[in-house]
Amino acid sequence: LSSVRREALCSLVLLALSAGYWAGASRIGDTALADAVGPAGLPRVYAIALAAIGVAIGLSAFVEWRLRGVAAPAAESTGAARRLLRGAGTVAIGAIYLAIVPLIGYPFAIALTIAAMAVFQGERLSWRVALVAVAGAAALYGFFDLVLGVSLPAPWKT
Amino acid sequence: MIAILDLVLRTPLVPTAVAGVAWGILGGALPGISPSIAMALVLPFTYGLEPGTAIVLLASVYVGAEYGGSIPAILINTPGTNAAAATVLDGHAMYRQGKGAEALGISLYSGVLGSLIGLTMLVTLTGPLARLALAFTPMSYFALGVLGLSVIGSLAGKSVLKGLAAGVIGLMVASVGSDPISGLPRFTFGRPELLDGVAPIIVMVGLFAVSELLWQSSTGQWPRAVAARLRFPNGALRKRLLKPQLIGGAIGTLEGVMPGTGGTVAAFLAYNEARRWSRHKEEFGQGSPEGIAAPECANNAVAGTALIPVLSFGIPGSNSAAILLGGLLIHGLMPGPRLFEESPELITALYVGLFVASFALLALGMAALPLCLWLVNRSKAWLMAFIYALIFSGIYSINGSLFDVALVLGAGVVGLAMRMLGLPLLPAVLGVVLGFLVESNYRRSLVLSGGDHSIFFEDRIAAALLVLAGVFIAASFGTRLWQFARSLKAPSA
Repeated sequence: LSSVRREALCSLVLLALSAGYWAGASRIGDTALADAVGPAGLPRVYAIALAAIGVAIGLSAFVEWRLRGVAAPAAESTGAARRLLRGAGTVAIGAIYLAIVPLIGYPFAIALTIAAMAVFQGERLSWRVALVAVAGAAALYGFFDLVLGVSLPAPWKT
Repeated sequence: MIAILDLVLRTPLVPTAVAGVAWGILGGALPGISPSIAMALVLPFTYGLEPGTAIVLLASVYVGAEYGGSIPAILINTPGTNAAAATVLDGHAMYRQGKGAEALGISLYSGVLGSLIGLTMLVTLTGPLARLALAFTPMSYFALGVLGLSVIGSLAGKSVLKGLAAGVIGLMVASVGSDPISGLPRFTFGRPELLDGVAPIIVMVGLFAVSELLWQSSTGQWPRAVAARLRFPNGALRKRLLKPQLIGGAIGTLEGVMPGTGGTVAAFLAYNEARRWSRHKEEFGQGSPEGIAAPECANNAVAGTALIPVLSFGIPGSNSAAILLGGLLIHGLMPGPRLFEESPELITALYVGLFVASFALLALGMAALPLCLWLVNRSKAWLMAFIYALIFSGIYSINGSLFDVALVLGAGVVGLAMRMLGLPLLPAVLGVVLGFLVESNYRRSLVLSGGDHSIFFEDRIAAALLVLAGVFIAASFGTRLWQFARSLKAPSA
């Protein structure tokens, strides 16, 4: 993204965040145990501070736009979109792991995650990928569950 | 001396310290496994050990992990531990310039020096420093937190505004959970898992490690690690590093003994002060050896000095110190002055164990490097896959909670968004680490004063710390203004 667009977007995100946080702070209940500042006191200060900073960043973007204009090189916009898409794919793999681990257990879920990440990052889907993923999952399970005694999710244990 | 020799020969102190350091380096080098996680993972194994051996094992893991965290920080731009975040700035810059061997050597050399400084302070200054910590009031702790936050201006990168925004975001995250005074839930969305707040380790792993993976998922192959071995600094460089190391050692000593701050804050403060007092300020952030020496010396010094409030008052200054306190309690040992009277052999064993661990760090730091280089030179796809799996497994192992894993993933998404918007991550981490300390002590102080803010200046320690924080902030803004003025002059010159 061009500098101006990025600053403008940053300003909007900060303002939205401060508004949401302010709304959350307003929902904090009252109690007789509260002190002079109260449980919502500092959160409100944080929300105001973030909004003020967001406005300042927005103003600086506006000034820069008036002075220099907006020139977003196409390559940079494409790069940002690609970064978002690839990032979303990686997050999706993590989200799928979270969804399946209680169902199929840690060893299988982590093996699938390792294989999916490796393929997503450029390894060709092959028996080698499957073997390394299974071996890696076995090593991790052995290390955490059997050696260190961390009780990893495994439906067959219950 | 005879008692120490007897201790070394009669008990498995030396192999325990060596094993602890080895596990610590390995654990610290793995992104997602912090010193406290590495220590927590061995905690179950201490049940069957003698108390002294158990405490030495835990403390040695702490020492090893503080160094281990710098290895991925330098080689793959991902701090293995929270405290190594400050090492990323110049460590990875040196690596990119083909000076990875030197960066690792400086890190190990400074880490060992920091460990020895921390141990020396632990042994000789426990009494006076413990008395100073005892004199701390809520006002002093609040001022200490403000002092920690005052370095945000220096860590902000190109934009002070964005640094401040990131710091406020960190403070917002720190306010999640039960209110420190009334106990009312805040920003918990009805989730009981959030009542204790968001653990800093989750935010840090998410912001640094997961967001790095998300960022890297759209880049090409990682450059291979060219450092074939570790290279210690030569005489001239050692002389240059002495000042930042002493700064790091001094800050590590002070931060370690003051509960609530720990190695991360010490590393950032040391980095900031080393830059302030350096003759080569312009090199910081671009691959400065001093930028590695100061934080590494500081966070390794903290590993020793953090034990002072734990042993003296039972106050853990950090997550790792809390694990160590847990180790003491497991064996029925109550920290405090009586511990020194009733279990002097445990204190001696701890001192000797830490001394052995410092030198084991030197040997194992070199020996473990080939394994680390082998790991870094694997294909990016496999490394990312296994780092992802390790982060999920390591985070799950803290509380046995998949909710924590989801949180770390969410923190990674936030970190990616912050990177894309140009918001620096380090101020956000400082906000998270210091938020609870600042808020809880600010409000406790006002409860004591009946809402009168002058109490912060009536407390001498608090007043001094606040003035120091003001000086830091003024110096940061002054430097920015000076740089801005120079940039205006430059085109016309």
